Amino acid sequence: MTPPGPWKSYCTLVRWDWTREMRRKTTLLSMGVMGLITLFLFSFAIPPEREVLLDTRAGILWVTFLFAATIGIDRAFRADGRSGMLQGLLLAPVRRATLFYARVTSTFVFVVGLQLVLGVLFLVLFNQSLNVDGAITLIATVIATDLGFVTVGVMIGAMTWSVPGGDVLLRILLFPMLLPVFNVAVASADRAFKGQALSTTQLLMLAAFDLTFLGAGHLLFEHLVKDVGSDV
Amino acid sequence: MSTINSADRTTGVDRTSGALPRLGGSPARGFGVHAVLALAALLFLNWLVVTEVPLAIKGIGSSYLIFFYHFPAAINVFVFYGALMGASVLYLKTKDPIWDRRARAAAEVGILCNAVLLVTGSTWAKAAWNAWWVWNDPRLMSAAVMTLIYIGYLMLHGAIEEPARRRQVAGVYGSLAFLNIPMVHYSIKLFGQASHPMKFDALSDASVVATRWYGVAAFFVFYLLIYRWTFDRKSRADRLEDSLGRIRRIEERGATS
Repeated sequence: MTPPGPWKSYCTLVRWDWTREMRRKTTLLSMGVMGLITLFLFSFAIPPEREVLLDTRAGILWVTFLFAATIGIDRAFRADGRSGMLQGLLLAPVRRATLFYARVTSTFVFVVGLQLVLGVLFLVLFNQSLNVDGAITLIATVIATDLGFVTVGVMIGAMTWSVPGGDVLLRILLFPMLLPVFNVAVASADRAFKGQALSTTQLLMLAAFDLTFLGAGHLLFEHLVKDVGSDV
Repeated sequence: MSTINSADRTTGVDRTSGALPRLGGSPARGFGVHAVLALAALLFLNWLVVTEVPLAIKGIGSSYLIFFYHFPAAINVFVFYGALMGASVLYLKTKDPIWDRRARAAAEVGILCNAVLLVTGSTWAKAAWNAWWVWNDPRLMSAAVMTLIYIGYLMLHGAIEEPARRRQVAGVYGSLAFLNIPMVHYSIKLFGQASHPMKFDALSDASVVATRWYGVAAFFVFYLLIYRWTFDRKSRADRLEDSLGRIRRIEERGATS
């Protein structure tokens, strides 16, 4: 029997991740509740006056997105690694790069979906509005930012899943690495709230980050899963 | 003194005394000469700063003199973080543990340069702008974020117990981290409001330029000395860890047979 091609393996792995999460819903629920809690904390931490929110809303939105999405990133490998499923996956005739892209895709879909829901909740709870240009800018920013965010996150998740207390280490490693995209994402979300289109410089910066780390992941991911199983 | 060279090849234990290889011991060859050279180079830099460059320049006064210690740290940060990336890639390619030790030593010296950069930069900021820290300055922020990224490297290295996986994972992180540095810098530069003094006419005087580049070379000799010392310590610690691992395996085999 010939092993399936990369595209077929990729689709199977993404579908498999999707089906599992839709059955359990634990990761999505944890991410959603964490996002909601962060929004509520901000409502206490920052005075709700309109003038203050004009300066801080983009930052509030992205900090909420970041905290919620990190839960999904952390679970991308931890649960499978701990249950031995990752070791089983690695025995399958699937290229490591295919496994990497599949994991990035499924995590990306969950994170973007969740952030769109949280974005709407933010608009309602903080009494903000977006025009059509602003909405397109925000959605494009979320997609371009999350691709880089999830790519780096999946790589770091694959580094830390086997470490005791690795969930804390993941955040310590991930947040400084994400600073370039976070900075651009906040600036871009600010433009979105002002009803402006995404600037070319911002888009190029996000694309450069995404492509750099997708390329690095393609080359380096296999090194992260080579000895998996020896330290479990 | 018992060293690994005179020890049992299987366990690393000295046959005559039964002791494990020591963490301390004699320094690497030529270390003393290197130390004297580094000290002389730094003393000469101080002499140049006192005699060859203006003691105060218009606009920022004498506080600019810290620049001759700040600028070498800035250049050497990139030298050692670049070396870390090179060693990480070479480890992933060759699987030779020596590259992992080189990467770790380069990370520690890089973080030291980074700390010097931040302290001198912050001190200069207080003198020039009356603030210890400026959040939207791209260079100051890039330096701070680089420190956090490379402290993460050391934390990751220390967190994984199994040596082969630890080296492998650290090799990947060391390669990724360096790719991020230009992006951290440009993202803050493009979307922050720069207040770092980019150009002073007096800093382009021939004597100042020559002194600052001499400072880079002198500090490189000094940081290289620390790198050699750190690398030597790591090599001894790794040999000790290897020996302990072998002893444990032999004991386990003895217990089961």
